[in-house]
Amino acid sequence: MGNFRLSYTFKYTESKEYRPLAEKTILPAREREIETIFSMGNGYIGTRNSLEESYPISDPGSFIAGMYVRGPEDDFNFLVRIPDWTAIKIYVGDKLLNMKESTVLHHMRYIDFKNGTVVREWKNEDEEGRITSIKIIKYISLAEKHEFGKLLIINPENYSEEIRVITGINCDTADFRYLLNLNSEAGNFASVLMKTRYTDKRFALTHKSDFMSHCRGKIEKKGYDYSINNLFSGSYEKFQWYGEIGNTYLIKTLGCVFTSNDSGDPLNNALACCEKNKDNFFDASYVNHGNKWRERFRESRIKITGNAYDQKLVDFALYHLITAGEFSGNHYSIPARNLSGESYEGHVFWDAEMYLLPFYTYTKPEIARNLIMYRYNTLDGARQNAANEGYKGASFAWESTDSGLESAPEMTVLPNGEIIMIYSGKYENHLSSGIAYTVWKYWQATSDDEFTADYGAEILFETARFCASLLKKQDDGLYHINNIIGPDEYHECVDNNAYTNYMVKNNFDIAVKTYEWMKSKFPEKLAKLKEKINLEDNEAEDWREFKENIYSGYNPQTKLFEQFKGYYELENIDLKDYEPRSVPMDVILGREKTANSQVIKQADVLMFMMLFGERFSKEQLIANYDFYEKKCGHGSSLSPGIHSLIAARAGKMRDAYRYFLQNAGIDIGNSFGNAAGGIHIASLGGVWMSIVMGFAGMYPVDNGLIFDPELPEEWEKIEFPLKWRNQQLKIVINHDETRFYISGDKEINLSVGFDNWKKIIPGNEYIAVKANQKWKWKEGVYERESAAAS
Amino acid sequence: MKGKVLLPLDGSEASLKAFIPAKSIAEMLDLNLIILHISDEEFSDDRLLEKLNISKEGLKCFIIRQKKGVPETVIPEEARGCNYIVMGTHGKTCDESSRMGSTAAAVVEASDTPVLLIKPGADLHIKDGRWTPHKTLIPLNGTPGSAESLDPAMDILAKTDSEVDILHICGTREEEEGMEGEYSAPYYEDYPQHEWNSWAKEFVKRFFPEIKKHFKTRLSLSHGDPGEEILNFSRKNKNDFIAIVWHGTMQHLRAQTLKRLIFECSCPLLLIKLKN
Repeated sequence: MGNFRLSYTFKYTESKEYRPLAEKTILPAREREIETIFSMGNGYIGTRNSLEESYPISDPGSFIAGMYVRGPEDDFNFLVRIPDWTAIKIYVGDKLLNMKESTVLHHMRYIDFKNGTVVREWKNEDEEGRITSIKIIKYISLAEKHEFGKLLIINPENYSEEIRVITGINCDTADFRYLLNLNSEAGNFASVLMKTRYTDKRFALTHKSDFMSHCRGKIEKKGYDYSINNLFSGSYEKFQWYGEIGNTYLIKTLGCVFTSNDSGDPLNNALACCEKNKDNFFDASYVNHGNKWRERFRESRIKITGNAYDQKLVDFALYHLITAGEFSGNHYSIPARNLSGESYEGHVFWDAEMYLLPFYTYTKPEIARNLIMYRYNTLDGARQNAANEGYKGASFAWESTDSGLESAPEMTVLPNGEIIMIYSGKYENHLSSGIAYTVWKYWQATSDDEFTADYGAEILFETARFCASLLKKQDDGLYHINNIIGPDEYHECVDNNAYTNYMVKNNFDIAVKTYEWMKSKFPEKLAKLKEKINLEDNEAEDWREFKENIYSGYNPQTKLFEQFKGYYELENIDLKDYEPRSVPMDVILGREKTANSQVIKQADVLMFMMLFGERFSKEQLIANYDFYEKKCGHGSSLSPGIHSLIAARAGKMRDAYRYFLQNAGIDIGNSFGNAAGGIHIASLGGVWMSIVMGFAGMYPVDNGLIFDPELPEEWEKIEFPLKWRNQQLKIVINHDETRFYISGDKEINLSVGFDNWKKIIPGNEYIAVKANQKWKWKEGVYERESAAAS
Repeated sequence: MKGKVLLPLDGSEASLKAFIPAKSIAEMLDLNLIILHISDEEFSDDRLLEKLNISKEGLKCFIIRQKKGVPETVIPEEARGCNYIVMGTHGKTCDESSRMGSTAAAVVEASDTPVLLIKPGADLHIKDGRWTPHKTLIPLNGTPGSAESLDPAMDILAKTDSEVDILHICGTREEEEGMEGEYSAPYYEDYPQHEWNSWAKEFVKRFFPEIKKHFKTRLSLSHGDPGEEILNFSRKNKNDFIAIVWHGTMQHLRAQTLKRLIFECSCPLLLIKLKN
């Protein structure tokens, strides 16, 4: 099967040149990982890429962002699994084609990076020797929020026989503990209308297909029987025709999803969505999606020269980052496992801001804005969380859903039967300052004053208020934060966690700056906001004092930050003694022993040194990296990516590259045993961060962008696009030269190395060269090089 | 053709301990019970049953087979085509200070048929003349092969209302490399409240995709020496039946876990060789 005419006017062009990540085997044990790895989405809908005919080893599932449910016995909301729109069954004669009872002559699944689709090729020989070639192409549209599509191509290679295809929406995958099937019928559409059992949220899926045969160069849309079957277990379209040897048959499907959050009548909206392009319904959707995908891929692509495998890892990360973000934000955010599996129950964690926002802020800031708006829209829940714990202001939920109310459980049972308390919802309070940090970074990167005045300021002020209520002034005259959990969750309820204190200090700093800025630029908006949240002038004055006098745990002699008060007194355990290992250190040592040791779960001190990298000298960075890196057990999937980034900035390129590979392989490498439950989307954000902010050495600061690149020896060159203050940048880095090209209408400031600023004028190329380990500008402005500008 | 349970008996009290479990499995799974006696002397069926101290009453679908030769070779030969061998760890020359007798050791190693070993002092839950497990332990090392090989155990359990404890003992990454589809505890444990539920679901789906819904299954995880962990777990949880998959060789320094279980475990132990 090669290229096909999908209609009279449009041709499907197969992507031959680039098929990274092709999976040729069917291994039952790994099938659910494959479903995750090739999952689809657009930030609004997410679907696991299951084998369409479904087997006991399959775990098909679709999710709609924000479709949270909660039963009377549940403590918290969770994202519900909805029906699966990918179901297809193909019968030749009366025989259902399936891989268990047939000979599989060829099988391959891959992501088509040219078209932004997932593709399955399957050549099947049944028990009677009939060979059928099948190709299934699926996508969830990046162009239209509510659309998804699938294209089935069937070729009876050595026989002529009746062929029957049943394609539609499988309701058996839906979670009927929480959903009711209203069993709609909708004319000549397959359709499903469901409502949540304990609330009144509704959603509808519609599914409309078109048949086409290619017979000796002639395209026909006739010669088949068609019917619709609506059952409680699903709604299906049936096509039946006499398949002739050598001919090709296409079934093109467009589906639409609407919820009651989108409109009052999700079913009619979904039907209208399917119908809007009349007979051209699939083709128009497919073309629009492909165009949007190519645009988004171009806007985000990091190209690595010199290492094809690493390019695959990066493309894999970008596929999921692009598809996760497109329609996310505002009333829902990107859950820890994206919309690709039910692990973590669709809850949103700090990952969304600290690991995903950088990618969106510097490649597609509109998405970053929408994601921050999700936090803005959950401020009421955050205010309630703070009040529930006796604090002021807003405390964003450690595990957040649609309400913003805390959704982390208070206890859980471990596999050894031990019941443990979960303290993150109560004491892991650095999240709110982290969100404030990303508000500032978004503003810094976009100069979106309107956003800051209308929304960002409220987040900054309310989180600063919350931080103020965490402080306790002690005899040393400094403000302390006691009984807290930092990113290193192996040490719970500690005093003065360095990360939290630093983030809180920054929260006060940016809240004060924003307050002053609004006073001078938007006094009326400030007055309104002050009235809305009852903000007093003296609160801003207090923030100014707090930020100057927070305990930091820094020792100028050693250049070390103590992770929390008393950390140095804990038992030092040499992690090398436990290598190699397949389980986290707290499972090996036990929770108590781990808590009494210096073993840490993930970057903590190194995390804030990464976020504020421009404020620390290389000596400080190296001192802390050398001290903490060897104590880190990397018990979190968030850990290796940050270690890669920080090691690259510290010039420890072997470590940086090793951690890069470890992080990028968390899902795709099948090494860590938990990809089946969904993509580790934050780790994929970490892939982008470790390249752009680590190896390329990008530090976004108020004055502009600093670059201090150093590539691993495994790469010859990297190039990537960025957006900064509405200007488009293209950066090409090799070991001794960096080229910058800017297109747009405004100058921006760039520095190569630190304090080596230059005004960059749009339309020109600038070159920096490395000599004696230092980057310097090459004098002059250069003609745009075609490679850099492409 | 009806399947078979092979019960080798030598007339000793120790070997006779396997009689009720063998008969119970045959009845539960509707299999023929083959009572095998190896001796140079030949007896009438009634005389043999009397000599073996077995009452004919209540025995259905049984076949008596008398053979001459060396038990270590005859039993594996006779076991070909059988679904199970059920035998005592010890026989006439019962020396309980040893792990098991030489005959049992040879049979376990030579035969590909699953072997249910019963120790002379085994604790057997017998009610109305039938042995049925109530609390089964299945240690799994996370390789696809070990789970696929478990069918003989699952067939027995499907006929009981036994609770099933699946125990996964994490090894080191070094030990686990090399087999696609292997699955151990997650290396990353971002949040225990989510990670372990997710891990358990995938573990069961991966190794028991069509697990019978009526099994009351509990999945547990431990870390350390497998023999030690299995014994501690079974004592703590009062498991009365253990089914374990092994590689099939008892050579020096091999099958250390199995050797320790046979020596220290007092409940019936079903040994299943890994499918190729």
